[in-house]
Amino acid sequence: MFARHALRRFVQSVPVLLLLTLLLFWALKLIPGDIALVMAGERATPEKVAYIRSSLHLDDPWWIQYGLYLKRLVLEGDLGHSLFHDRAISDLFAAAIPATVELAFAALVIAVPVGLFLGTVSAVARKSWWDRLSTLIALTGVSLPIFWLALLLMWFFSLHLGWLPTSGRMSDEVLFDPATDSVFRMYTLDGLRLGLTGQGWDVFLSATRYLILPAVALSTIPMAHICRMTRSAMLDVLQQDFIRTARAKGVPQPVVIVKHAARNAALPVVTVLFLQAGALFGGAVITETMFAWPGLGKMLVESIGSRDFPMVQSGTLFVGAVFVFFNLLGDLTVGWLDPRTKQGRAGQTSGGGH
Amino acid sequence: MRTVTRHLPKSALTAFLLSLATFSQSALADSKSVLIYGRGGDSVSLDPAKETDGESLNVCDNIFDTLVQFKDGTTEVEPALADKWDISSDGLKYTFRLRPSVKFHDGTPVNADAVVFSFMRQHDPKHEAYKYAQVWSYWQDMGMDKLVSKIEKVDELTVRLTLNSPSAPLLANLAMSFASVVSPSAVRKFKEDFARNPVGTGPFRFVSWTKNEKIVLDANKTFWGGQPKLARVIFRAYPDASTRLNAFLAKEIHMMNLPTPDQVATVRQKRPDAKIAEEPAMNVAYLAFNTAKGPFANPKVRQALNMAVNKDAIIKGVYAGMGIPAVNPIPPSLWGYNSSIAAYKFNQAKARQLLAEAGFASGFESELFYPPVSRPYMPDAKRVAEAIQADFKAVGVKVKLTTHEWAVYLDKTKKGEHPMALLGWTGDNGDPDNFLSVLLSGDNAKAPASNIAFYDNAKVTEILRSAQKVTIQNKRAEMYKQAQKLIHQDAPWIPVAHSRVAMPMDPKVQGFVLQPNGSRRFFKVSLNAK
Repeated sequence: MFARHALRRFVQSVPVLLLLTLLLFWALKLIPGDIALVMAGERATPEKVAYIRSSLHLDDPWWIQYGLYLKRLVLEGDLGHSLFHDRAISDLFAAAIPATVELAFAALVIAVPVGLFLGTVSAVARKSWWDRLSTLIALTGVSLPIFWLALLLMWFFSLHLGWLPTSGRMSDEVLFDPATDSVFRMYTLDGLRLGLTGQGWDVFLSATRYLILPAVALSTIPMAHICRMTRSAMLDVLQQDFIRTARAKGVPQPVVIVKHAARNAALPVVTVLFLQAGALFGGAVITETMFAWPGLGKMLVESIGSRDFPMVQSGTLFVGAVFVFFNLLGDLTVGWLDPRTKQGRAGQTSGGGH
Repeated sequence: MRTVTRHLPKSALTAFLLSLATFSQSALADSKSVLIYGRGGDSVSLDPAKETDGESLNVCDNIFDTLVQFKDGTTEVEPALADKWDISSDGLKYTFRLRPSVKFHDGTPVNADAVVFSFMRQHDPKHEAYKYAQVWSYWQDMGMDKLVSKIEKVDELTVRLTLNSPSAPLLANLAMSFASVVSPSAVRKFKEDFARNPVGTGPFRFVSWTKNEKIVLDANKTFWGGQPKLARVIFRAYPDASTRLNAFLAKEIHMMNLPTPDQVATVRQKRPDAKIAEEPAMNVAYLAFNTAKGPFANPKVRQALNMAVNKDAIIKGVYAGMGIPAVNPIPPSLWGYNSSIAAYKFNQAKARQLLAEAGFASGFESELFYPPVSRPYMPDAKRVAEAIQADFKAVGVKVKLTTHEWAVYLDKTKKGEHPMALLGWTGDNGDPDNFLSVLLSGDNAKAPASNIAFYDNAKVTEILRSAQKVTIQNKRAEMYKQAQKLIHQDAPWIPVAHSRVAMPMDPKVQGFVLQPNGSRRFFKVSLNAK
């Protein structure tokens, strides 16, 4: 039963992605002026413009261009060639994705426990001082612009206290050159590997120090969403009859909350969690830019600046695919937790921007 | 987290917690000869002939050498890989003698074959390495593809370039990054990937590149010019300017490239120990009158409007002091600059009087185009346009402001659709020809024009043409001074400003000089303990 449900949901996401490719293709066509001239920029030589025209098949009708693009993408798994970097886009992604994954994972490690804890506490102790505090934290978390929060964190922890580095991924003093020494492209993992194999912990320590501030900055929005969703789901559940029955039977409060309430409140929280994860793993544009973190989001923004349209196209498609994938994963998890929902959940809204 | 700590030795955990809480101030303390340079973006590639952006060329300039180079802090040419050269009397043959026994970082010798290879890969579509770039941009930009007819080896250490027509700026072109001599054996080995594994002869050799993070160069101890004082230079990318500022304030980087004017003020206030190098950039921001049509065909109108603009206020208000008012089309740091020309003084009464003489006593209406983007020569074009609009209004000329998407803007101004337009130019090779001919010669006044004033003074064009053919620099300088005088009288532009570049540096950094062409050289730089 579950396998069929999973397969159906998977098949459903194919037209979504197909529509996305068409939408992206169309959006890039809307850019005013000759796209080849726009890409070539101020110092355009006729040769450069001609090269761009031919490599993008700009002289063919749009359906041929789209068909060629789709054929390469689907049949050959070819994401295309970055005109700005003169390199395969898949190579560029391979360099950026681990950094994004490391940061997103670190942000979730902070956001999930803190969000769950604050949400639960404020639901249980509703209208208390705790509830107000957690509401305040959540509200601040969603509404603070990340670039501002990033500067604030840097100012306080780096410039004022001098505890943590402002930005980047690794100190230049550690004898570790990521270009040659990194196996995972995630420096905390590389550090763990070196540490556990008895080659010292300095790489791990340095990588962790550099990871803290960006992870905290990135965690605020998912943390706030998880906190609010946990609170409302818990409040909902806590008012149900079976909780009253449990309490009446003399079940102690912690057991009521963890065993009876939390399990039932988990469904909407899991959904939100996966939506947030989908947004995080697609790359965090502002956090990455502010903290000089060489991830996917930063790379995408730069490719918009350099008018590298194949890169923008494939990058956006990739981010979309990651989002769809996590959405699907969330649905499947919910379906697995609660077989009643296997019809699929409707009406989900997207996560916050960051 | 729990599973991780279980495997961690206790001492490691203690060390971890301790290190998280210790001051990070030591960041630069014990790295005596490692310099960290913080900049706004990563390089595109490290092939000096392929790229045109500063972040690529700034790194390349430390890895590669050219036959001739710009003397530190100037645009004058001095020997580099070629220790002497000879120019035939007809100005068509340039013969270079190479410095003997220079080696590339990979150990192969620098000889005539290597030089021919380095140029031919950009010049000859049939050359084995021509296909390794989409376009050899600068070779074409600087017109080398049309100018050069032959590149040949005379003997092991002698190379000759033969031109189709005499061109005095050739030497300056050969000092530009694109004319770097590359290791042919490395190009053959790495093919397209040479751009990520550069091998040259420069003071530093390439060590590693972590994309979007950092590029590491180490000293080339056998550099022909002597041993560099630094052991290592690290180029770190900080795409956000405020992050770059924070990294500098936290002493994580020694140098901070491209600060905004406000950030320079912040550095002065928060790190009073920092040194700030400043240099006028090799650029000009200008307002071009379309001299081919309307009231602007009349030189009197153009002169009048030159007097109407308060440039000092623009420098103070829009450039935040990081610029100087322009008098001539070329910046004062260039040889051939005519310093005897007096600027049109800001005098609105006189401007109105001149307009009346030209038959516009009650003024007129017109339109001013301004670029939609921030450029090095003009940080905020809209505010410059608004200031000029207000100044013109004071003398009775009502101006409508217009802008377009950047590529469209360039296209429209090239075609001459503007009555007036703001634009600028950054010099490539430090030769006055690269400003004056490109921007004001009658030869470039036909659409699509680089002379967007469509200024066509036969005398000026003739001077600029013949200056290209003279090979003695003093003689050429005199000719450019003469051209500037004529241009000043005709006033096809309002030269607005030359911007200044600033480089905040750690007080330990010694011997760094800003180069007029924007290059960053670390050969003579050292870090002194303080």
